[in-house]
Amino acid sequence: MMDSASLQFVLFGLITVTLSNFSASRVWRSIVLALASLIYLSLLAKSASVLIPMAAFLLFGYGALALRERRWLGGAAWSIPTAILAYAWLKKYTFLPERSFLHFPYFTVGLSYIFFRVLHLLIEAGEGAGTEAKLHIGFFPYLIYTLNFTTLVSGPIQRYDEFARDHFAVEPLPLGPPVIGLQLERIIRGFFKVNVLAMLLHRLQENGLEHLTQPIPIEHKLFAAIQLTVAYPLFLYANFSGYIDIMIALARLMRIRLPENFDRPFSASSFMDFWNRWHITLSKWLKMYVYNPLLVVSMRRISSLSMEPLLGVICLFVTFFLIGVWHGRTSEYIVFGILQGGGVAINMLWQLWLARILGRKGYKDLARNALYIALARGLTFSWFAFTMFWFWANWKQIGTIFSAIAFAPWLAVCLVIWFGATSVLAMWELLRAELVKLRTAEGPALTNRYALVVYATAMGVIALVVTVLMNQPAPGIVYKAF
Amino acid sequence: MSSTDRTQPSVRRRDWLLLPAVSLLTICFLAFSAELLSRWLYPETRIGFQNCFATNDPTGYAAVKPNSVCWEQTPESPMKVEYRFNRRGHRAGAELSPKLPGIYRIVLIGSSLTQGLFVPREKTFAALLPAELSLDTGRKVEVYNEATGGKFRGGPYPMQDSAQHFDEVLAAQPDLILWVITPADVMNFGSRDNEAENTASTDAGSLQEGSRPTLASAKPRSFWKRLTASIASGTFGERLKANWEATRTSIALKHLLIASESQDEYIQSYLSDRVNAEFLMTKPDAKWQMQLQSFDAELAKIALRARNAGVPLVAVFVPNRPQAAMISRGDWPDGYDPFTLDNEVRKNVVIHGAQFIDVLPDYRGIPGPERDYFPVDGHPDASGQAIIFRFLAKELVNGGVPELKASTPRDIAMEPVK
Repeated sequence: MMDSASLQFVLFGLITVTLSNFSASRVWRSIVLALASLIYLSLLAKSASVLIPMAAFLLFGYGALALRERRWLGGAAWSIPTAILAYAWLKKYTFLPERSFLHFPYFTVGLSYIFFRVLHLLIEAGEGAGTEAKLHIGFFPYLIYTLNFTTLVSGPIQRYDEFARDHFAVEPLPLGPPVIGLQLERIIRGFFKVNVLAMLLHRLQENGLEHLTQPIPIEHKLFAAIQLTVAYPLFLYANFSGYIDIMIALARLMRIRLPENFDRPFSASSFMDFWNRWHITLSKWLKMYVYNPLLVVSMRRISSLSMEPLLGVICLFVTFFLIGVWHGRTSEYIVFGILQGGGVAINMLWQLWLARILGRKGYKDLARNALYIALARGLTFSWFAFTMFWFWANWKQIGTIFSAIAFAPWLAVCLVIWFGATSVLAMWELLRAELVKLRTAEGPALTNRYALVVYATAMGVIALVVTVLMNQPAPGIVYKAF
Repeated sequence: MSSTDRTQPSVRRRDWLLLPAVSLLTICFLAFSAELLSRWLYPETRIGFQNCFATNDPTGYAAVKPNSVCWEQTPESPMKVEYRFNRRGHRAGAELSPKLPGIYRIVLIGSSLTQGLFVPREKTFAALLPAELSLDTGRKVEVYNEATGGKFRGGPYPMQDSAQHFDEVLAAQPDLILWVITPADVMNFGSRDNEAENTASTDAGSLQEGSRPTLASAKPRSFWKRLTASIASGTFGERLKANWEATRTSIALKHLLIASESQDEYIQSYLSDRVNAEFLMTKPDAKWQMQLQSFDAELAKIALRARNAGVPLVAVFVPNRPQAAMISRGDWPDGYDPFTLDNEVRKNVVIHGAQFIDVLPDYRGIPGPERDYFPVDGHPDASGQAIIFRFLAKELVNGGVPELKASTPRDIAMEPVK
């Protein structure tokens, strides 16, 4: 099967890119994008019948959109909760009765991201939305926006206006040799991340899990627990950001700018900051369509100024709880949501408390302190790493992991990870700052075109050796499952 | 990112040449430095190999020279290993002496694993068994290792003429013949002999197990001619892959990648190669069955000769790396079974009147036994040999062989030696 970051997929993407650039015409590019998206979908689904529920969801979405755009049936406000319910039903969320589900196999890959795009269109088409959203969206543009193969499986979540601005532009984005070179380098980087880095990190995690459950001395178990905890977030980052690199670059070669989804997340010095840098398009979407409206509504209802910060904390908790819950339909993800929401809420409460006891200036001074930043960065990584157990493991595995060593050794593991992450990330930030200072007349020396060619060649050769000559299978894209 | 801007930096004319040159240089540097690093980290040394191998061997494979000694360090082995062969060309540790009264002599037959390939002799199960068996049985037990397979004879044991040369085994005056069988012995049986029949020359430099003796070429062809010929014949990809696999970088990478796999990942990736994994399939295919039949035919001859000589023949099947991993894990994908070949061999051994001792179930109790094998080569390392020794010793004295019955019951729940 053509997996989402395989060599076959990259070749498929590059052929599509080449065809798409045969003409700058909007019609031609739309036809190529539509055909490529349908071919990709059919390769993933393998049978047309399994696509029926997804097609029905898309048709429902378009029908509701038409109603909302034309203000028919009272603006069809019911369509938003219906779309949410339909999505939860198709994804078989466990809070819905089991007997209500469709009991035949059907295709749900990419459904979450289609849902985000459809819901975004429905919300924007409603009353009070901006003028650009009031333009009627045709069925064909709707289809190529929702099924765009570069964003279908795991995002990034692009707004329709951004998609339309690039894709339907009379004068498409320029595509000279420098842009092509940069995008090819990014594709290679993404391919390397998914197929080499993520593969090795996944092995570290699997080995950690295996050793933790074996009858081995406690010091080996402690090491295995650290390995297991630390390897997964790094693996997920390499896996997901590598995939996103490939997609953003392919889209750019098709003259579409996709939004960035990652911004050095492990450099975040707080958990709130982390979510501004990790899966950016998802957290932005939820902030825009959940956090902001929720805050506005709650502040309208509770007009007390002293309650405002607390309301912000509650709204943040709800938003990030939903982010967690969105990831899966089982109870593990409810805990994951609570840990994400809890992390962000506690982070904000901590900031509010510090600002109150130290004063605004005192807090600002502390927040600029290098040691405080380093410790906060380490803590952010550690918290995220621990919450990941509820992301990838089921309750049985979680039970096995936490019962493999006693509470005190786990506490030691937490501290080692915190201080280890603090030191390693601080050293990395220092090194990075020094490397960025190395400059030539054209800019930073380590990111000039010659250096990029060296990186891309090295990563490309290694990735080809590992995937083609050594036939080492890399784990699939994790977010494909959501 | 600047790439998304509408204003683009231009590419200078010189860059159209410089950038590909930089890329090419990077590839050359990477290839050279990786090979250099691999050779440093995974050294391969052979000392005196010409002393150990007889040239112009009529079988088409190199045979061991009696009274010889050579040393080898393969990329995966942590040390230089001595191979010292006695007057009879066996890695037995000592010369075969006439059997003294009261001594119980076991003669070991088998292939490279039994010979202790890549492991110092004193750490092989053949070297460890006598003391342990003597201690457990209360009688003096001698083990003479007559294993002749592997790289020091060019293939698995038995070869097609093993039964004909069985006199050599009987001449050692055994009280018991212990035959250690590996999956490779069964699965490669027959194929070697066909090659031998068709091969007139011996490639003394190509001694790796599984390597193919090559026909001497009339005259060397230029690189360019070989390249164009391989492109024309459509074998370019295969040649490229073969050349790649001959590099130390390839061995080093394979070693690192296989060693980094968890047990589950290792099993999955091994089974994904159906050609290698066919002996693990629940339903053997035609080729598999043919090889098993060929093996069985030779087994029948050997068992008959042993029976006629009045010497008990005991066979034991030792798992290879993926089998050991699957048994230890306890579950495996549908359509596969690590015990299939073991059961087939046991059935045939018993049919031919020999005795079979089963050590495979003992691997259930070991966490990660695949780590006790060389990841790329697949032979057991010193720890793997120690595990085989423990299981063999346990099974031999547990009553299966009356003469070796332990004076006190052994603790069967032994921890593996690491």
